[in-house]
Amino acid sequence: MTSKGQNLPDEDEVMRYIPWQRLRKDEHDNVLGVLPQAFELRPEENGLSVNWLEHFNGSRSDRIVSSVHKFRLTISVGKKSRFAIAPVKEIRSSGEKQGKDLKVVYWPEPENTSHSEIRRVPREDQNLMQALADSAFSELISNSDIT
Amino acid sequence: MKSNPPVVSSGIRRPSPKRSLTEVTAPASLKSNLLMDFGRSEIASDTLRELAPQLDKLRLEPSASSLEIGSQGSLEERLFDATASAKILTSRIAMHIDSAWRDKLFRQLDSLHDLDEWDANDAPMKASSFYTFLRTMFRLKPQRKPGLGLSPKGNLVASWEKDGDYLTVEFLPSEQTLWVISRLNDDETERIAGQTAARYLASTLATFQLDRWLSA
Repeated sequence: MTSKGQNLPDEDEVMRYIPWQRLRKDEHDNVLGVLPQAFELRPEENGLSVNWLEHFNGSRSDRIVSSVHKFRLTISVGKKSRFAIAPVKEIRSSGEKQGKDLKVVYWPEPENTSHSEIRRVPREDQNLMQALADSAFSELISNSDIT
Repeated sequence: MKSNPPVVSSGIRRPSPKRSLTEVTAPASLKSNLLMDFGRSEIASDTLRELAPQLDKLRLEPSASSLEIGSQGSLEERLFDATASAKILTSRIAMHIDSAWRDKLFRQLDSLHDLDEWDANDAPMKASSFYTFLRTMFRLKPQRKPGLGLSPKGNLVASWEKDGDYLTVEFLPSEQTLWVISRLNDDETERIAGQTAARYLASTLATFQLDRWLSA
């Protein structure tokens, strides 16, 4: 059983909530991807919040749905928002290419036991934020597609 | 007689008449800086003379911070104020902005401040960031208009995509820009980032074929 603070396995996946404001769009507001600013730490944050998909039961599709439902219960989720999915291995690899030793650790919260964090993210590293946006978190799920 | 709440040119109505839209002010440097921009963009001198009275109408304050929306009021009011400030700034120089782009820009700003999509931990767009954006757009004159986003701090973010390559520019309040380019180079994604004063952005990015993203 994974305990708090333990690194998540490389073969597992995590999901991050991407609000409408942090989606890359064209001039007509068609969604193209994720902006690097989606991976900017707020002053009070030590890590980037994600849900650990393997914490949920069932098939991969089931886990994705369960994670989205958990986000909806714990944070304010906009209709036009997206959820970005990344393999833990890709997150760490994106960090390594930028010379950063990123950790993805299990950090459960009372209301969300799948909660985890990407740690050691520098606060002003545009290259790393872009790498997370376009390489690691490359799979996008539309909130409106999940019932 | 019943009085209606003030209406911005886009038709949005303020949630409550706490503060008149006409109270939104411009930074002291607006007049001179915008005139410099127009001058550099090869607008005829008679156009500059035509613009000057419009800029004179702006109520000038000591610093750009006077434009910023405070933390008082409901979230709905603060989002409205942030959108209204940007629209007023834009409208006062509307004669030099293509009306189709102005309408599109207003729709994008409305969309960014949609209450139903808002994360309560985010800051509404800073007027001073929008000011940096406007000045930069005057200099770049992009044929392809950017998609827009917001950073958690309330900085406006513009992005362009071309054949899977990306240019992203974040507009800081201090007339600085953070930019990052992501492009595929022989099957390897190359990323280049930097911080540049807004007035040097075009020359700095010229090295990276800026026109590729901005051309229609």
